[in-house]
Amino acid sequence: MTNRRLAFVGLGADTTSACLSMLKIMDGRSSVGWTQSEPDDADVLFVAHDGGANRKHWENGDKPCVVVYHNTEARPAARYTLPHPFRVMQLIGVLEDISSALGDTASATRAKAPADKPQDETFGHSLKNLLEAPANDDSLYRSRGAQGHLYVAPASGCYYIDPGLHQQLRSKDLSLSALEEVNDPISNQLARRPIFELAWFTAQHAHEALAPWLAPAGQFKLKRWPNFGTVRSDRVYLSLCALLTRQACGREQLLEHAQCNAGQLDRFLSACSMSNLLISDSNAPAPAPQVTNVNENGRFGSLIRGLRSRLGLSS
Amino acid sequence: MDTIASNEFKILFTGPMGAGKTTAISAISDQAAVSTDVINTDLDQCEKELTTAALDYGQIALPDGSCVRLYGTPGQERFRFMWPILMKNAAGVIVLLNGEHQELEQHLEHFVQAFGEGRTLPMVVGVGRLPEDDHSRLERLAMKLEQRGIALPIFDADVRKHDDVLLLVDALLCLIEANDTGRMEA
Repeated sequence: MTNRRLAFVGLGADTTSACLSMLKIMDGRSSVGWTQSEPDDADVLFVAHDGGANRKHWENGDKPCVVVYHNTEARPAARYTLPHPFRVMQLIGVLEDISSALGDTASATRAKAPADKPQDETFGHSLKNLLEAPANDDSLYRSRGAQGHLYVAPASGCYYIDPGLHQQLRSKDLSLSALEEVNDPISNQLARRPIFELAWFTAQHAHEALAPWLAPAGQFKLKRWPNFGTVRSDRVYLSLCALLTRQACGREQLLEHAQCNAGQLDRFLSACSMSNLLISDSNAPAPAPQVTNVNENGRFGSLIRGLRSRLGLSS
Repeated sequence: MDTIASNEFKILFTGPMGAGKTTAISAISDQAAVSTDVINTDLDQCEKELTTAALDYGQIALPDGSCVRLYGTPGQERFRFMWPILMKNAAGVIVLLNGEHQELEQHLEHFVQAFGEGRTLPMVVGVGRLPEDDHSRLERLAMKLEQRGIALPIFDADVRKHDDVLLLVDALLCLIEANDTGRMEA
């Protein structure tokens, strides 16, 4: 077993205590053993988002830093982040990512997906990691599949793809390898597309159920809308977005509001999360306001129905 | 807010000169938009010869006898006094922007703020003519709003395309419905 040390910088006592308790739960379940140490001796640091200069000092060092932020705040621009309060699975997830980056080859925990998971999940996971990394990554990454290659350039917010492969990406799940850094020249034949679109379609088609990093019993809220000008969608998604920018909701409330099926909702939430548009609170939901489904009469109910009918907008 | 007739529904289109307000209204109005054009005196902002002075107007008659009224605000700053007049009793507002204009971000800030940031009225933003080689421009606009705690629908939209105008309208209707839901709960 590999032993690693972690330290807490600027975190509240409750956060530190929660983290240490969870490490005890993880003890023996992972091939990496984690113990607490002083920051100077640690391999990994957990730093407070509001740590100011102290945070900057440690982030500028060569040790992986997990920035811990409150889940009511927007996710900070850092490679590793952890919303507080967090669950053990979230802690395991971030420590797994760091273990991999540190080269702990046998770092799989019991909670990690099996080694024979489909190739597309590996691609999705690598894409998610890339999107969560700092935006100034000017490297180029490639993924290979039977149908061709695609390249991701995070710094420019775009990806490059063969037009034929692009059509397939929009309509179905593609079997693609995990992204790897390359120095290839980009062919003029490849179409340049927004990276948001790649994240959206990857999550849309890859997840039959809710993405594994999202808690089914959690509360969700949108930070920004997806660009439906690029990723065309139906009314259900527009309706879900409208409600999720107004208030945080659980899955049951969203199903009631949009009158959609669970699979459709889960694909939507997964795609929003992958595209970094979603705030999710994995804790047990607090009592939330009732949500009325949109077909019931509101102030403008009949006028809106009449207008949609008149404009030929699908119901 | 003043009461609105139960069989009327008013949607506002706003944005700077040349963003496509008249075109968008004409795309969904029963008849071509009625415009109150004057000679454009601000050629630095937009090179078109004529621009809207007071308002653009279009309407959609519904089968039950009710009516959806579509108003376009004048884009020039000198006619700004018309904005609150047109805003009165509106159900929602669609902000249209020209994506290739150098002052795109300022225009976004200006019009979103002037029409209540989506807090007083449901608001949707459509950005046209975005450069093909700059896919991050729209995201930067959305993030700029996000930094101020504003989460508005912001889509690339070519108002010469009927479907793009419909997308903006449909998103606005969904926002109005979500707001209506909130009012019913209150």
